[in-house]
Amino acid sequence: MNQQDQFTNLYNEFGEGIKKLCLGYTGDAVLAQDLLQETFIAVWNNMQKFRGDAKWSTWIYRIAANTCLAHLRKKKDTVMDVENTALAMLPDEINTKEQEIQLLYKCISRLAETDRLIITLVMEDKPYEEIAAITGITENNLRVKIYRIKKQLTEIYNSYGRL
Amino acid sequence: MADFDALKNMWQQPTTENVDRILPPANTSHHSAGLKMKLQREQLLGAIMLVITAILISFMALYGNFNFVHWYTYGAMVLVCIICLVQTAILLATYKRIKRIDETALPALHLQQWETYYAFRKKQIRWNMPVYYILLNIAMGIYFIEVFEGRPIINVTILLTIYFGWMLFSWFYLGKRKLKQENARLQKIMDELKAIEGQLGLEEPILS
Repeated sequence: MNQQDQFTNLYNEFGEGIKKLCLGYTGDAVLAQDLLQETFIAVWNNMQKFRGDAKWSTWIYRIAANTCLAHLRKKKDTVMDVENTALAMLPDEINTKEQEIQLLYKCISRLAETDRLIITLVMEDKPYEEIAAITGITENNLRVKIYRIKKQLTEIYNSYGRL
Repeated sequence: MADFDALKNMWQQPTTENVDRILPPANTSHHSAGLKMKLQREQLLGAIMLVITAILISFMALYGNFNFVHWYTYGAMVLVCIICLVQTAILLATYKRIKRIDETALPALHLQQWETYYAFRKKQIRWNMPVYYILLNIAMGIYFIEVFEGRPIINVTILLTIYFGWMLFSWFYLGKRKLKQENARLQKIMDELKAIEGQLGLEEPILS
């Protein structure tokens, strides 16, 4: 299999998940698309470096995490603006599934940067071992973080009294 | 009241297309290529412009039929070319430095690489621009000796006023403003990187 075919397979397999990660991270569909694109450019540029020490998914998600963390430094103010606008645009009563999901994305984007990343991976049902490998956090520390983030996210969501 | 599993179920339900539709459109005017690519491109474009400048000046010196009498006037043109090429080398070295940042490293290490780059860049812009300006003006000064020789004093005064006016404006206004902005931006980025590194750090267990 040549690099092009391998890349296409990787994109087909992980593209959707990475986009959701970026979306949960930024709460902004257009920015998420940018980050997805940037992630896969980095994947293409670094494919030769992949030695198989980790799984492809771990490796790609790690690139996505790095891309998000580095990118948000520049975009932080814009993201916060979009986020606040979006929250303000939410109707008083949320009735539809789409509105609930919209609120969920916005609540995630209120968490600290690395927390967004971790909780998105948790919600994607990634095993703790893999999340630890992606983020470089020890499994024990990760468990503590996840416990706290779950609690925090649920509190933020419920504070809007949507369910 | 929602528990976390309910939120997770909600998360796993939609496709990205649905989410694209329900999220408000972002202001795309601020969007650009990736941070790393953009920084690399800035360095590369600067280097290309300087090489073009050096080629043009070399071409003028060789085929411009200026018929300068003094060797040092041509020497000044060569000096400008050398300064441009040295600056090109500096820009290309910076380009390579950015390129070396490893996106596949663990996040903490990746952020540390950015922090190292920004610290390096902060130091670099502090000395690089003054040295570049000084050398360029020395070369231009040498060049002007013959160019202004025998010309009416009023013409020389006007040309020198325009030249120094532009140099002072670009140094004290444009240059200083750019340096101040870049310094502030680098400082902000470094502070934020430190904050993120802190987030990745050890966390105390929560007792409930």
